[in-house]
Amino acid sequence: MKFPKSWYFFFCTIFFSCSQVLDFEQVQAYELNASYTAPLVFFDVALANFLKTAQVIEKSDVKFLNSFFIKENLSKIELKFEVINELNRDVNIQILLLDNEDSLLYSLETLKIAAKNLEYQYQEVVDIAVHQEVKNLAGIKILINVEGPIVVNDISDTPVLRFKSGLTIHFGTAL
Amino acid sequence: MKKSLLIFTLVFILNSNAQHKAVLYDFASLPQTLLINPGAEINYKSHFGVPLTSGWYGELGLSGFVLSDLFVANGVDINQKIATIASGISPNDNLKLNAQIEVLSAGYWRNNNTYLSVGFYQEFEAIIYLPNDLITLGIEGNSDYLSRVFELSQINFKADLLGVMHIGISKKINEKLTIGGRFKIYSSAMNITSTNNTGTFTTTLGSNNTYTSALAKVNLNVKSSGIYKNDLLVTAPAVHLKNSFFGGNLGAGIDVGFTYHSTPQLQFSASLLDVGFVKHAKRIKNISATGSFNFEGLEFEYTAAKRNYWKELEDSFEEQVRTSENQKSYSSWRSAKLNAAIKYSYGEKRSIKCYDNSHKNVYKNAFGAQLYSIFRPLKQQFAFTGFYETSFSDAVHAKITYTIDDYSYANIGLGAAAQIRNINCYVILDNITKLLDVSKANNVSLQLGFNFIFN
Repeated sequence: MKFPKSWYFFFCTIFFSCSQVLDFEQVQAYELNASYTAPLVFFDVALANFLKTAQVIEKSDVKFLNSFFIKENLSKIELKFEVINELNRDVNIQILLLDNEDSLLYSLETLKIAAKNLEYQYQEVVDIAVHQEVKNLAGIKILINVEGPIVVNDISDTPVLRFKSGLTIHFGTAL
Repeated sequence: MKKSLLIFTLVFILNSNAQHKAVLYDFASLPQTLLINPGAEINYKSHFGVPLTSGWYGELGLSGFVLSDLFVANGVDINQKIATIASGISPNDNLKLNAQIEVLSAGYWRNNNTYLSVGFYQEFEAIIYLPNDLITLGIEGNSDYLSRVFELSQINFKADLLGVMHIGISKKINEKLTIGGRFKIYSSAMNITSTNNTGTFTTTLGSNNTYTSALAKVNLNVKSSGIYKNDLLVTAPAVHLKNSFFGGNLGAGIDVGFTYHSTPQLQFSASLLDVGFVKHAKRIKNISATGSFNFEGLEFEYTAAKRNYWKELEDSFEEQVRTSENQKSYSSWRSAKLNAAIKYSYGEKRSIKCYDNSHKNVYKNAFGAQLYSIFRPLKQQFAFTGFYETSFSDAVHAKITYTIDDYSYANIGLGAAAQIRNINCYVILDNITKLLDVSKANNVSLQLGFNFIFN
């Protein structure tokens, strides 16, 4: 039987099919540039909280970074704060980032909010390349100081100090 | 040598396709056409497929982008390429994989009008829809997408590895009509399915706090069988292979079809395949998560009481988003397929010898149209094909097809079948216009096989 020419075309096509030059090594140049935003801590405190002491302290575990992948690829942490100070006192808020043994890793700039400042905003970026220790973040402590003495008459006021915060974790590492 | 083998394997995989067998359908009376239409007409006395080589096919289909979009060496930054691809895909885009190896195949005329065929093949079939919301969330995060609703319902995937034992009958009712049916026993080695998921993830500017993150109406489920045994991942291929031979997760299904000649030249045919299910009862692991959760942050109270805010958050999450794991048996439906075709034959008439020693007139050429549809988890997929078929001699046949489907608007397929004495072989190529650059193809394929045919 004579072999049809079309068969030669067939086999040639099969064996000589090809593709343009592909470079699979490019994957190594890929950088994860994702950033994730989440709420962090919020609270309302009234002057009554400061009757016995000018400073109140609260802390909590935060385990946002409790993953090997996150620790390895973290490039910076952005912390965003909003404070509505209805109090007639100046307020200082100190925010400390702690490790899992409550040891200090990083202290943010103290927030100094004037009395009756209802639009206070502050943002701080922690560069992980500079502050590698922050990768071990496991807790947050917030200390609030109210300026000036507080008398019993003051606490009948209903105004409060309203605190809000958010966290953005940035990744920026070649995989 | 190893490198050559790897390159050959890659080229073969990229060239292999057959889930949609547009060229093979009703082509040259090949024994394998009976697996696509059990009511196909058979003219020879008997057939026997060369074990493990009578039917090889595999498929790699990708919609939304092609390999060269990602890997072509054109100087464009890979990060930019990935971002462009991610922004261009839709939840209907998918990656599909299909591979079949016919292990055994045989058939013969039981009497003058009944052709019996039996066989066994192994099949791997998978479809993974590309969840573009979750891909965006994964590679870009949510910071630039505050208020965007990330749909968890886009999680849809299904994969099956199974052995199929089948027996079919093609019955010639009269000169015009042939009908057929095939009964299949499925033996699932591995199944994983996640469909009908619901839920959203959203981060918005909050009222009590700067942001609020919310998981709403979450109902996620993954069912699996054959992947874990006693909570350990089964990785040995030999175990999966063994389980595809009546390994305990069994099912049944049928194929039906017909071929009808309204005139000697005009032919209609249709088939419905894999209407069946598998009951998964062994080596089961099902996981689900249901509920809603609103996270406004940790609310400090500044009271004397010591509170563990993070623990309270974790407890609250676990209470409101319930996760569970069980070993309950479940059923999975096979992906049913529908074929229909109209064919007009013309040209030079030839007489061929049939199985009953009678002679039948056939035409040299034919053209027509075919419709193919497969029932997928998210939606039914369709393919429309126009074709031309010709015979160079009694023994050599060729067919060319033009197909429009979800993966390509211009898929040209080419097939040839030849018989040398009792040895029959066929080669089918799909999407030949992309063969000079397979990296630009959403779908390219090769099918081939060898049979003994006796007449």
